[in-house]
Amino acid sequence: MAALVDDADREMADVPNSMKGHRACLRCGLVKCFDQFYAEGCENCPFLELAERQDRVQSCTTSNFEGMVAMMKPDDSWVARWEGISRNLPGVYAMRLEGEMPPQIMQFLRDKRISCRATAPGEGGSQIPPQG
Amino acid sequence: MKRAIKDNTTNSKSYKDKSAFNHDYPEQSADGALGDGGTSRVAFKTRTGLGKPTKRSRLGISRYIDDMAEEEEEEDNNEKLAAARLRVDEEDREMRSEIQRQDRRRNQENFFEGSDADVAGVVKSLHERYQRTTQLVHDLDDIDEGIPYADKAHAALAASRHAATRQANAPSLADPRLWAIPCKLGCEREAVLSLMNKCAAMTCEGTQMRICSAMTTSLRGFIYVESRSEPDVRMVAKGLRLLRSWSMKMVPMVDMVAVLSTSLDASYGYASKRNGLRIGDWARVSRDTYRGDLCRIVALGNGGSSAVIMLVPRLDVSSDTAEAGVFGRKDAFRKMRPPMRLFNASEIIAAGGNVTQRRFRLNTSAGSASQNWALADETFDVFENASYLKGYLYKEVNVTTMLKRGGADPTLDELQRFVIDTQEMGPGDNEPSSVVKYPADDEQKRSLKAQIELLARGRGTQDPTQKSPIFEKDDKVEAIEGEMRGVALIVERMAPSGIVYCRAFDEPQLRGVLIPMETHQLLKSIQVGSHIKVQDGKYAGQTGVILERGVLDGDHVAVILTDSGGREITVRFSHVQESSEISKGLDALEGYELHDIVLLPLGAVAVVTYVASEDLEVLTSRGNLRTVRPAEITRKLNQESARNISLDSKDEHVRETDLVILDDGQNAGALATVVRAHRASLWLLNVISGATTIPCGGLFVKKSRQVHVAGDRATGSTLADTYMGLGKQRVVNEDQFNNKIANNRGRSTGRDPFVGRTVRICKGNYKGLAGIVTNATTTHVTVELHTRNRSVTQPRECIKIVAGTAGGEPELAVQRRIAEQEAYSTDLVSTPFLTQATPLLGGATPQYGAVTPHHTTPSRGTATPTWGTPAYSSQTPRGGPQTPRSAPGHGKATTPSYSGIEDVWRPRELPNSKSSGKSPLHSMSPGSFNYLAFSGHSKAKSPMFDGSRASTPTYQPPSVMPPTSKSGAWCVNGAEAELEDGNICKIIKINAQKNMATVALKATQALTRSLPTSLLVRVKPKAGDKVRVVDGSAVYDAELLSIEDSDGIIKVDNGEYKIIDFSAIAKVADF
Repeated sequence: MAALVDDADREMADVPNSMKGHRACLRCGLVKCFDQFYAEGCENCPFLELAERQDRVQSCTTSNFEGMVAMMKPDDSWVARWEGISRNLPGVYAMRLEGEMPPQIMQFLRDKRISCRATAPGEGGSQIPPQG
Repeated sequence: MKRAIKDNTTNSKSYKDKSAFNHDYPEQSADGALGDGGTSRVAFKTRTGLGKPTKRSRLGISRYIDDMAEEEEEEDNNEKLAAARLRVDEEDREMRSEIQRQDRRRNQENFFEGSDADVAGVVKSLHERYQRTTQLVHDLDDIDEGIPYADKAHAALAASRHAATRQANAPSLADPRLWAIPCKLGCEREAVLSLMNKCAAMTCEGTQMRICSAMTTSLRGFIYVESRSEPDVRMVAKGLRLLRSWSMKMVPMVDMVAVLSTSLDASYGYASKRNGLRIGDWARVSRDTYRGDLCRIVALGNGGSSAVIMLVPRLDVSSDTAEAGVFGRKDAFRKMRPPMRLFNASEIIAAGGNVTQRRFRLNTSAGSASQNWALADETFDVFENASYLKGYLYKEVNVTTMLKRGGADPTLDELQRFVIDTQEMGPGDNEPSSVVKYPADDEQKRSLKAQIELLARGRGTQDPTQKSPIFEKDDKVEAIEGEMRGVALIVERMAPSGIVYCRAFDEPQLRGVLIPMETHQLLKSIQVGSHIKVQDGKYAGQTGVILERGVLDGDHVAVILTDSGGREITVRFSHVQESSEISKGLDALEGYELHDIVLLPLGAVAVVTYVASEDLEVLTSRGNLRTVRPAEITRKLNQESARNISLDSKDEHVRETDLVILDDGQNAGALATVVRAHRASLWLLNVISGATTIPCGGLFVKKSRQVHVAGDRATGSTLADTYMGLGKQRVVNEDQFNNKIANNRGRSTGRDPFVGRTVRICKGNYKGLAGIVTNATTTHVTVELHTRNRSVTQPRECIKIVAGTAGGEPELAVQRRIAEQEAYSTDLVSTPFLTQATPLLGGATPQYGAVTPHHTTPSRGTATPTWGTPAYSSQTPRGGPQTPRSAPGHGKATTPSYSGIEDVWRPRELPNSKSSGKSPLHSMSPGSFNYLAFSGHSKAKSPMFDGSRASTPTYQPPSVMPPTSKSGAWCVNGAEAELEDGNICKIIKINAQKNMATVALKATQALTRSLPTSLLVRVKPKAGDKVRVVDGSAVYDAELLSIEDSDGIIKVDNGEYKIIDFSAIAKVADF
């Protein structure tokens, strides 16, 4: 609990504390190490309730991401605007991530009208129905 | 349509929603399948105020209708009314929701401020909040339910919207800029994290870091830093050893999107191929029993890091004994992998195996991928902890450890192992044939079939009936069948079913519409003459120009002239891709590279001219082009080639890397480099032509006798060999000699153009002096002065090449002036170079002097060739007439005793003296001798002359040689001359070898005569005449301005003024 309160006051998300084991939050793309997610959850997405829940962290974050942005001023940055992370906390974000939320959480997000950055593998680019 | 509206509403979400977590949810992608944007609209409303009732702010059907109206220009009164009513409702609702929202926010603030706030409370409030919006979404969805929706219109709308948002987000001048900073390779992430940490640390210290972000994309070796000013970037990057900030560059604004997009948009193509697998993809197992086997991904979990794969099992059920067969002897058979075979439970049971049934989900190995799998609840046969369904093995594996990276490239055979209908399974199986058909399963099968079909058609180059080309996105195609025939299209997407979706290229009414076409209806639209690359098939990798397109055996083919080798090859249109690339072939094939010299069977030797994907093209020593497989090659002969020395047409040694000149053939005189040599065969590469469009990559074979080595290496030695009898000495010294040249000039690079030229020094102490360049570096040249017995080194910019630059070309006014001052101020005869040779000998062997300086006076080396050349000596006495006090007797050119000597030294003066004094010497030339009677000159029989000359007949032939080559200096085509009989004529043809001239008489122009040039007397041009001047090797027209002593001052037609030896000036015959 205390962690969450701290996060609200804090001006910045955690920076990965290791060069290994990076994971990106499937919802917002925040990159941290697994244990950081486990310890504090995702600062941008408290509703995912990642903290202290290993399976949640496992399923809601992905190690399969590309590109990394150290976002210092999300409100001022064009990159942030382009990436759609201008309302997020400063922190390190993935530029492209692949992975899929568990269906329940997907549904939850959908119900809550919360957008999700992750593109599910296999779903990309299917804007047009296959059989025209 | 429905979706489009959702997108429309989600767009309004860009307005800030003050939530407890200080973030808004970023806008969704265009296919946003999530619900409607109830909250966002509320937010929008609160922002813009209620006084702005736009159509966007309406809810439900009314808004939808309005949109429809906007799109389709339709109005419906009833619906308008309904819209009005709804709008009132909606405003009410919004007011309410706004109040609630404010309340909620206040509550949340309390939550976070109060020390007793708890997570549950926060989450609950969030839930509440989102629940409410969800309700709205559902409302809207319900209303929209019955509306039919148009696919194409929707797609187009979505696309345009997508483009619009992108457009809106495009970088503007107000945005920060990006700088690309080179970074240590592989440490991009580390650098970015360092920057982030640095930023965090500095913020804690209170220093504001003024960069916005730092990022690494898929581009290796660079990171990007976003900032508003360059000094900030430098400041931030300072101290980070990973970054080479001194060479950073700003990204132009137009490229900023590309920087981000390359990592984003390429993701579906490039990146996902690397590590992102999709369901339905093929992969290969990387280890254990199934290593190298093809498998199909049926489910993915854990963000693509684990997968359920489908395999053709390799079970050892062949054993005769029940227990031992399956279990006991396993180790013994470990080496031999069991063959691929579908699982059959009854067989196993018959063999005594124990088969149980279990749901896949309940397997011990089942992980997150299994949870996502639709078939996970199916009942599988389990045997030895492996699950089988319909004969296939399914297992969940870790993608990174168990599957190979890179494309699986399944073969047709392998794929077909996966297509087995259920009916093939025996009815007696324990197979759950009553399985409910899952649609996913069906689709999987369909796509599998399509894939196989595609493979059979596209890749199967061995299949001659293959017709349908494979297209890629953005290929330009044209329809060749169907109603769209003749329309140019661009491929947008390729469906696995073989349907190609195309955009019309320039049909305005079809804009934004995707047209489904079948592959056989399409043909790549590549025009004759375009440059292409062959993508597939036998000629894969070749590039060339399309010469012709046509139909061959019902297949569209193109005839291509390849870049390398210039052969014509016929390839399928489907294998052709437009490209500007020029293929040089592969780098190497099995160790054989371009220009390797190889030994072929039966002793043939050849050089590789092109490296193809499977074989090598070689040029044999006989000049034949052959294609050989690497296996046929016995070995490489590169080392032998490097040691090989052969003799050229001038008996000079030719080696690899030498520059040679072709003696014969159509390219006679062309310069070529020796690439390889084997015995007397040389493989040459043309120096000038690029090695691209020439057959064999510009390589050709010559015998070494058909070439000679470029450069002046040959000249001196051959002369020496013939004249000096020094051949042996030369050979002994040759290496030394070559080394010297190599050191001085760089043998293969050719000599410096300055070397050997006559130059004038135009700056410094030696200003005005002329000399010959004996050595040259990139910055300096060594000039051996004509006038002084020394060499000086001068910067290049201080010298100027004198026009008419043959090494011995004489006489600038300056040079002569100095000669007068220095040489002739002392006694002329006392100068060493005059006394050195006795008059008789000196006159007789002018060539001797030309070559000897190299050897007889090594200290001088090549530096003093001029001292012995006739050119120089011809100049020295000329001062005579001008300086009577030093050599009073010299003034008279007609003095027989002097002219005998002098004329040998001064061949140039000959015509002059002859015209004035009718020098008897000429009568002594063998050629003129025959004409004595004809000319009837009595002076030729001057007794004095006879006395002095005829007594030394042995010297005569050489003594005459230089004069004959020089006597006609003024003798050029078009010059006016006087015959001995006084007739004026015009020289129309000169035969330099025989010293014969063909002249046309002025009186009777039709009449031509051939005479020796020595019989022609120059008509002295007068000031103002048009003259033709022989200046060294150059001949040009000029106007004679004035005559000064023995010099003529001329104005060349290009405006240049020159002082030329008067004897070399001929009047242009004006008839």
